[in-house]
Amino acid sequence: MESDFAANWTTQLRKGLLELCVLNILRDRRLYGYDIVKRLGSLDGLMISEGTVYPLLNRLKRENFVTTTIEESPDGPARKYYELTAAGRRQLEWMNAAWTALVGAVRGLQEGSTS
Amino acid sequence: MSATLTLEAQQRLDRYLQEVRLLLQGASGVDAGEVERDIREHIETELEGRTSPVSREELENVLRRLGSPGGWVDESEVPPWRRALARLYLGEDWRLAYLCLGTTVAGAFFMLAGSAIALVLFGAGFLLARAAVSLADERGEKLGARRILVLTPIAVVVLPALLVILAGPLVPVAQVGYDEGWFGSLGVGPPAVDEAGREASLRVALIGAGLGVWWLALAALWSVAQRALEWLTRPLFLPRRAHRSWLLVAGAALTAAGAAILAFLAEGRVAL
Repeated sequence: MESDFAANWTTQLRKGLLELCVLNILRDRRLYGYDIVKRLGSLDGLMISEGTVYPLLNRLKRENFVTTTIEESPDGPARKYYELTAAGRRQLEWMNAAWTALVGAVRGLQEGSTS
Repeated sequence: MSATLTLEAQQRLDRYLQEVRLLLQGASGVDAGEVERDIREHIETELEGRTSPVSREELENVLRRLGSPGGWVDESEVPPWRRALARLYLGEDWRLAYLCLGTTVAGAFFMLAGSAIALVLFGAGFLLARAAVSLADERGEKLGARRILVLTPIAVVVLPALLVILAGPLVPVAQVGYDEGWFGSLGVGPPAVDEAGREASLRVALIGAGLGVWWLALAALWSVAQRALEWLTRPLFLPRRAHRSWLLVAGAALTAAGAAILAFLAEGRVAL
């Protein structure tokens, strides 16, 4: 069915872009999980289940792209902060470059340019 | 958690966390404790600043945004057997549902042939069906028309199992005891008036009292066994405290009735 196809395509696209978005959100700052989730949620077109972000963060941690530190908060629960590692920054640069190239190529196709 | 939850909300949260823990079993490289900590931190932050107890509905809204328990498990962390099953259960794909029912139907054929392989197949059908239910839950899908294909293999195992649990060991014990004459000390001898009726009364009283005592024991063990019972009966029905109360009342009534008949029989005051 076309609607299923469209829904699956959109879901896969969002899932594929999630890592790039998370790494970019962490580019200049350290943030705790809830804050990352809310920032992602505010991005147009990136509607996700909030629970899917945490496994992704854990995967990025296992890949050594982010580190975590737990800090007590004066006005709430202890928070786990995420921060990019040097490897994470290199990965982000590479992914941003790949994304820019890909967007350029797709845009070229959309505009009818084949070369 | 710093925000206080109502009892219902706390139970809902416990169930959510339990489902996540179950899904994480066998997932490689995942620290279940860390995942649980992330969930609690997220919910706690979401409910920060609340002064009144959080109701179940409010918690439900937070959990809905978090997504199904399956969302907490990254696909790459899922064991291969579960990934293989998931491939058979995608959107409009009915293969897993057919496999569930097919396995159970094959079990029925083997049962008719008197082969013990039937038990293995019924067990396999049950486990496959439970996996299908979990996959549907994880994806937030309803079983829909697949319901009959998936729930039948579960019912085929759960209903007899519940029957065995409810019948318990005391009923056959009472029956054997009667046949073997263990209850001779009750002073119940064959009456001159109506031996058949007296024997039937004794048999019913022994079985009734045995069943009653067993149900009282089950009610007493309820809190220990509730989780196991929930695991067994899901998703056919959810055992609740009200069921325990029914079991308690019915057990007490049966025990009392059985004991009363036995007492009358023992005194030889029952005219049959």
